Amino acid sequence: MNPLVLVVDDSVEFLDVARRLLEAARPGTSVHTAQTGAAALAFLVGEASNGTCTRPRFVVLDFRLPDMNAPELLARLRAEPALATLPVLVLSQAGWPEDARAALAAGASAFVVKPSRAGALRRVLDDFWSRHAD
Amino acid sequence: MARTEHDALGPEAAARRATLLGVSGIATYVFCLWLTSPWLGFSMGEAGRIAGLIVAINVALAVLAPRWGRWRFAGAAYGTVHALLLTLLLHALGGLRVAFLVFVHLFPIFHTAMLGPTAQVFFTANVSGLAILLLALAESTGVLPTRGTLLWSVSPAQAFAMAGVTWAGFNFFALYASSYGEELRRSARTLQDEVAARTTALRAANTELEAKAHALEAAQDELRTLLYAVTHDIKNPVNSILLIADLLRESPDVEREPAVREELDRIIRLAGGTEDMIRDLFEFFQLMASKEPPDWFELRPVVDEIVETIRPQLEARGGVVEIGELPRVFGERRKLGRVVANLLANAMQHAAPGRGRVVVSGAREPQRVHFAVADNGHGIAPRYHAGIFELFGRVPREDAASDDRGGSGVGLAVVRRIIEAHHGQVWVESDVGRGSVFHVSLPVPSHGAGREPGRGLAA
Repeated sequence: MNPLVLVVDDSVEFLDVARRLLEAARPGTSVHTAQTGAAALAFLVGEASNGTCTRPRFVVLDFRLPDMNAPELLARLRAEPALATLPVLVLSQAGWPEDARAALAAGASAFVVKPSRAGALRRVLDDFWSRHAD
Repeated sequence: MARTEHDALGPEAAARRATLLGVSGIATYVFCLWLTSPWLGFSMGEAGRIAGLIVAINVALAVLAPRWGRWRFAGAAYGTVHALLLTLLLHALGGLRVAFLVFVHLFPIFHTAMLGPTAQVFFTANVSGLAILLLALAESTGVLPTRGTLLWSVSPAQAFAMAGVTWAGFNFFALYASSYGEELRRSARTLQDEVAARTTALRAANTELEAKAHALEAAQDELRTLLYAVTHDIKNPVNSILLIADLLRESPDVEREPAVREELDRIIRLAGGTEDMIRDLFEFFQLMASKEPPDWFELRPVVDEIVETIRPQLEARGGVVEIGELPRVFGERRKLGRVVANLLANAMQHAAPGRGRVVVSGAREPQRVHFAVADNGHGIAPRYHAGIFELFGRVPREDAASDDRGGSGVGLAVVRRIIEAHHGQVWVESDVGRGSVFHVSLPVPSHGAGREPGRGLAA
C-alpha cells in the first residue's frame, strides 16, 4: 500500500513544496493537504467518532492555523483511540519555547522550527519519517 | 482629607500627651514627698488623697482627650483646676512654710502652654499666683489652720512677700513657656499643612503615574503583538520564496542555463538575507519579551558554549578564536549570553578571511565588569561607530571590505538594547585597516540581593 502523509498548513505554497519533497522522498507517496485544523480533523476523524478513522503514515502540522493552534488539534486527534499513536511533526515559524512545550504536552511527536531552505526541510522530513513512521 | 494623619499631630494628641505627662509628673512628685517626709515632716494622708485626685483627673482627661482636646479654653481650664488643686496640696503639706514647693505650679503653666494660646498661659500663671496669695491670707488669718509637722514658722509678712515673689515668678515663667509653646504649635501647624499638601500632591502624582504605567504597558503589549504578527506574516512568504527558489534551483532545466541559475542564486541570496533579518528581529522580540531575575554568573562557560557552536564555521574560513581571562558578571544570563553570541558572530563575520583571529577577554574593575571581543578584520571608519548599533545600521558596501558578507543589521542593535537595559555601555574601538574591538562595560551592584557571592566587604 502506498504511504499516505497529511500536511496541514495555511500556506498553499508551503503545502506545494512539502508535497513535492515528500513525493520525491519515497516513491508512491500520496500527500493529502489541509489548510485549516477543521479540514484536517474532517479528513482524519471523518463524520463520526466510531473508530473508522483515516490513518496516514504521519502528519506534518503547522503550529499556527487560522482556526486553531497545534495543541488544540492534537488534543482532539489524540482523543481518538485509532489516532492516539499517529506520529505528528509540528513545525513552527516562531519557535517560542512555550509553543514547543504546549505542542509536546498535547502529544506532538516532535517540534521543529520550520526550515526556510529546501535542503533543510527535506532533511527534517526524511529524518522524521525514518524515525517515527517506518 | 484623611483625618488620621491630622490627628497624629493635632490638638487631641497634644491634650493626651499633656495629661499623661501630668500623671507621671504628679506621681513622681508625690513619691519624692513621701521619700523626704521623715525629714520635712509632711503629713502624707491628705496630700496623698489630693495627689490621687489629680492623677485620676489626668487619667480621665487622657482617656477623653478626643472629646475636649479641640476645646478653645482647654489650656486655661486645665491650668486653673491644677493651680487650685496644687495650692490645696501645698496647704496639706504645710502651706507657705514649705513655700519652696510652689515650683510644682510651673507644671500647670507649662501644660497650659502645651494646650492653649499665650493669653491662657498668663491666665494660669496669675490664677496660680492668686491662689498662693489667698493661701498666705488664709493661713495668716487662721481661716485655714496650718498643717504638717511644724519645722519652722513663717510670719504673715514673710508669707505675703513669698506669695508676691512667687506670683511674679509665675508670670516670668509663663512668658518663657508661652513663647516656647507658641513656637512649637506654629511649627507643628506648618508641618501639618506641609504634610497634608505633600500627601495630596503625592497621591495625585501616584495616580497619574499608575495611569501612565498602565497605558505604557498596554501600548507595549499592543506593539509586541503587532510586531510579532508583522514579523510572522512577512516570514511566511519569504520562507516560501526561498523554498520554491531552492526547488527550482535543483531542477535539471535550471542547471543547464547558467544565466538563469545566476539570477536564481541572486534571488535566493536576497531572500535569504531578508530571512536572516526577520529571524534576528524575531529573536530580538522574543528576547526582549522574556524576563529573568538578574544574578551573578561566570562568563567563561557561556563564551565556551557559544564558541563551540561557531568554531566549525570559523575554522572553515581559516580562522581561530582565543579566549582570555573572563570575569564573573551580574545580569540576565540569557540576554547577556545573546550579547556575547552576537558580538562573536559579528567578529567572525568580519574577521580577516583566511587568517581570521577573534579574541575574547575581560577584567573585573573596582565598580564594573568589562569584556571585549576583538577581530582582525577590515575595521570600521569612525563615522560609522554610532550607526552600527542602530537597528539595520550597517557600514555601506562601498566602505566595507570587498569580501565582507555583511550582517542583518540587527545583532549589534540587540547588543546595545540589552546592555543599556543592564545600565551598561557598549562601544567600538576601530579604524579602517586596524580591526575592531567591541567593548562592554557593566556596573556591579554594591549592596542588597546583588552582592557578589564570595567577595567580602574588603573587596
